[in-house]
Amino acid sequence: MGTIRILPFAAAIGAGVLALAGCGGSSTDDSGGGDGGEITLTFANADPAETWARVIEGFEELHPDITVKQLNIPYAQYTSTINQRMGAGGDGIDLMVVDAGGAALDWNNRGFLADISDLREDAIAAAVSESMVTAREVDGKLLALAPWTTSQFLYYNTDVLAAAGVEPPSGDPAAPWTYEQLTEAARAVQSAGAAEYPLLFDQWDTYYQLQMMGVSAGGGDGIDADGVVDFSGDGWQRALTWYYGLFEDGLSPRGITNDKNGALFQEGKAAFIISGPWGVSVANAGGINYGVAPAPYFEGGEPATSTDSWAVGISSKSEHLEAAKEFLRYMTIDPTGNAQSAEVAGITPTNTEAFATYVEGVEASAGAATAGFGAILQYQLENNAVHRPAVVGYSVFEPGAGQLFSDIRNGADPAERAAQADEEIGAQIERLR
Amino acid sequence: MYRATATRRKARSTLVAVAMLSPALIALVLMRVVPMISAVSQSFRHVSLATGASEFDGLANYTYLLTDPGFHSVLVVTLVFNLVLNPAIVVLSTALALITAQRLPLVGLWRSMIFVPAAVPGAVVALIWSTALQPDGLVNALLAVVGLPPQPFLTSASQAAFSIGIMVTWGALGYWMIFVIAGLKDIPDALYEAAAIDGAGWWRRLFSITLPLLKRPMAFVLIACTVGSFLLFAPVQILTKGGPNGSTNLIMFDIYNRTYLLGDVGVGQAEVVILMLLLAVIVAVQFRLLREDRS
Repeated sequence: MGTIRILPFAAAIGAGVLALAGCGGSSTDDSGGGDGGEITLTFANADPAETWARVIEGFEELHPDITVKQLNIPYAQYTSTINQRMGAGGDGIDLMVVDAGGAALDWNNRGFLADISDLREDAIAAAVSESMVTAREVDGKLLALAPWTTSQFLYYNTDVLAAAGVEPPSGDPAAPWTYEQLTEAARAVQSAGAAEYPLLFDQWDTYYQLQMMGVSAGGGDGIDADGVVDFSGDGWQRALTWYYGLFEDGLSPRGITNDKNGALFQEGKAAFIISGPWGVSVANAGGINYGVAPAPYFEGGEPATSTDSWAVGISSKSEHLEAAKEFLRYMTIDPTGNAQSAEVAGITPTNTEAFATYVEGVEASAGAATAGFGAILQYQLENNAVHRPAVVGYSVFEPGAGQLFSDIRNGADPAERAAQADEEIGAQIERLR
Repeated sequence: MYRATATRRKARSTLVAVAMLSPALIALVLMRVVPMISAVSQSFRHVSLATGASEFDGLANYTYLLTDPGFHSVLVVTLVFNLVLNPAIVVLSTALALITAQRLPLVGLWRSMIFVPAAVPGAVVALIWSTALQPDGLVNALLAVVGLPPQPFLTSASQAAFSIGIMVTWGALGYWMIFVIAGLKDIPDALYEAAAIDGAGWWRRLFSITLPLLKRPMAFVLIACTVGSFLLFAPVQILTKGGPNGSTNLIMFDIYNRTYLLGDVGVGQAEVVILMLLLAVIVAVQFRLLREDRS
């Protein structure tokens, strides 16, 4: 008797496991089907849910018939998950964040992204710079809009520079220091023993951080439209040799991971750090005396500053194209929505009005230290921002470049290692065509 | 009549057994068998980066891997790392088990202190050691105290794998020591008493009784530890990303790199299949050693 009772119970557990397993694939709860009824949009992104919660809340208040549901995917698995889900029909995803670089191109080639060119004109009119919109165009089609942007600054500790007898860099956006001037100042700090670390970067060994150096030195992006990789040319070799020298000469440290750089500057252990707009809140938290200057460039070269962040695109398979566009318009073209999108992340919004409010807040946060922040940020975004290249194979190129920079930081010869990277990354891109 | 009832009862018991096992079996199939079949099937396919199109490509991924100098270097790094690390862990965990099995004051405390790192997640162990091993970190400060020059550790191609080995050993020793201690407890006291009557000293007892009778738990530790070490990923991902110059590019990190960072899914899955075969061979050899011991 007892066994008979157990049987359906155990079978129910088995069925439960099957049902759970079956649930894994779909995430859209499309109650109503979108014919004038309730619409649920699924927004795939690689951030914690709270990052986007504020803008979703604001949008839902204005559109009570639309619900936005998030699909938060860990960053490391984001691209492969989108490739897999969209490749399998894209069921359930309406909007997705699109990384800077080749992601828009890759996903356009795979037919994942809807053409949103009808938003182009309004987006350009609302954006701080035109290039932050056009950087997401492929074959004349606009594929994504960026709610956030970034730039790079040279932050300096005024007390450390004073102790070393170094005149601080100018805050004039049009008159940045050269990398040569920066090296000289870092050497003076080193000789005076004024700080443990003369020069830090916010993100060692990343293409985002180093692209602007290669471009400024005349080396271009390091990859061309055909996927040919070139870190061996004169421009990149100049930039990489400079980078190599920083560690050889002890001006910058080896073995320190990226999570520690901001904290080291914040604690007054560094004279300079090249970092993004977020560097202000990091420095403020430390109570140090600091200043902000434009990012440096190579003597004889062009000023160049790394930029961009996530953009948001609409799935070509979305059944709610208009609702999705409405949400995208709200988070980018609408000043309120755009400000809400950047609020939790504390990142720079792209909309002119939201940008002005953001700059005002940042400048008010640290008095004289950040007085020139907004002018520098706006000048760099309008005049010398370099976007990551939208080329096939970018997803292979970026990690390969990261390994190259990391090895050079650890003492590999810049010329030899660059030649190796050119060959290996090029072959890998060719293989995946 | 009686036989028919018995048969029915037996059939019902079988059904019950199957039903009770079904959750575990379904989980096993979904989480182990299906991914394995998927890995094998994808290892024969090529995915175009430009179009995302996937097509059958025969043995091309395996041919590419087996002729790729980069993969040869991954295999060499992984095998050398394991050849050094696993025997070291077995010897050290046995030594610690033997030491803490002596009548020492506060022995429970020592054992707990050795075991504690095993309870710390691998990612946390990596972060703690990354700070200690940075060029101006704790370890170099200690070296300076005893008059030794600072070492580059994770930033040097010749020391990075060794440094990761040290942190893995630190995290694993206490865990494996517990298995050896369990083996020690299984050795009958009568053997030691008999040996003592025969006048055997500590060393003689160690080599004639303790170590021969510890062979099985030590073999178990070697097998389990080998599998764990082949699948090592977190410290490499967090600390070195396979560098400097590929010196810590262990096979699990290379699989992750090819599959997720480079998007070369076919080759990544071919590498998974090669790893499975490699592990199967190594574990089979180690099981054979275990069986000989039983006979």
